[in-house]
Amino acid sequence: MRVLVKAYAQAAEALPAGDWQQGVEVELPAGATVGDLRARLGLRPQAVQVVLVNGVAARPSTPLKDGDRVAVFPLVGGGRAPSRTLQAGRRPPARRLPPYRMASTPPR
Amino acid sequence: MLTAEQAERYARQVALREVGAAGQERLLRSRVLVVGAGGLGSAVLSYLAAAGVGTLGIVDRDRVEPSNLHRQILYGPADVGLPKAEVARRRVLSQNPGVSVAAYPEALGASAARRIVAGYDLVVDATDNFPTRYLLNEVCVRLGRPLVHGAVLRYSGQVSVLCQGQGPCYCCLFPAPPPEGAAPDPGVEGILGATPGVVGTIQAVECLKVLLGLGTPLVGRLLLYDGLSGDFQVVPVRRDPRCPVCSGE
Repeated sequence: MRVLVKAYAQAAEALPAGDWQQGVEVELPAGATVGDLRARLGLRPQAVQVVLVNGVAARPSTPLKDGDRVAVFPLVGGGRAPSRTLQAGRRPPARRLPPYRMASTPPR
Repeated sequence: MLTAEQAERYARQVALREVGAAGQERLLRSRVLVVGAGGLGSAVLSYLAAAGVGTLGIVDRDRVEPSNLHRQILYGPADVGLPKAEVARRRVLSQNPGVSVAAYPEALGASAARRIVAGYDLVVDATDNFPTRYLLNEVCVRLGRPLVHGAVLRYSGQVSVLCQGQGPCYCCLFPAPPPEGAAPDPGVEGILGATPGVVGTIQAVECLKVLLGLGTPLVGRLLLYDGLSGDFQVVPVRRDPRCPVCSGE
């Protein structure tokens, strides 16, 4: 079977050479899963790449079928860690805001 | 009815045939909750207040730090150490004293999220962490509020309008947060200063479109912005019929 793989943003950098932005047809044996596709593309299991099949999130166990459209893009959005300032315990001292009067009252 | 002052202030927006005075009045009656007053929130809040969204809520439990200032344009050096939600509220009110702004300088737990979100028409995801993002998504699905999602890292970002109509929720696209330690850490990866401005401004446009019923909001589409190449790309996305959060709603 063949699936059409498109890579978005900088996801293509992690893939073999090819015009991933336009989409590359990838041949896979019948019964292949997203995990098999990831392996074929050389994506590490831990790589933080999002894979959608026909617009819906896919897991490595998700089965693929002929004609599926696969989108690969980098995961964006923070797994926020405390900033260095906080880690070093140098958090700036908390301050209180002086009283404030609005320029005008908002309309009701 | 718009007051004479409002008619003058919003004249260029009212001049848009699809907006008009009725649209402007609708915006002035609208209530938008912005969760996260960082880089994304700075842009979203400034533009929504300027455009005359009548009631804004700002949720952020952090205080301003020096490392925020290259991208979080609501703040200056004099604000370091002050609660972001409070400073943002003041700043936004100074930009447009004609809107109401509520500050929630608190961590968003499940019950607080439900209580606060219930008072708003639309929610903006301008957060910097996965737990809050998943919580907001679930609350928006349950309460039927559109969620204008935005996220940034390094030179890229993404925007989509979630939990709206037949479109997907956040969980349909990202079923689980990345494992501990695998999530990209902005403190390590870095972020180009203007990037959240680009993404947050697009979020503001999407908010105005949803509130005004204008054009085609980014429902069922995930917009990806890559600052290094200058490319915008749109990934078609759809609701997962087996999504644990939004299926069967």
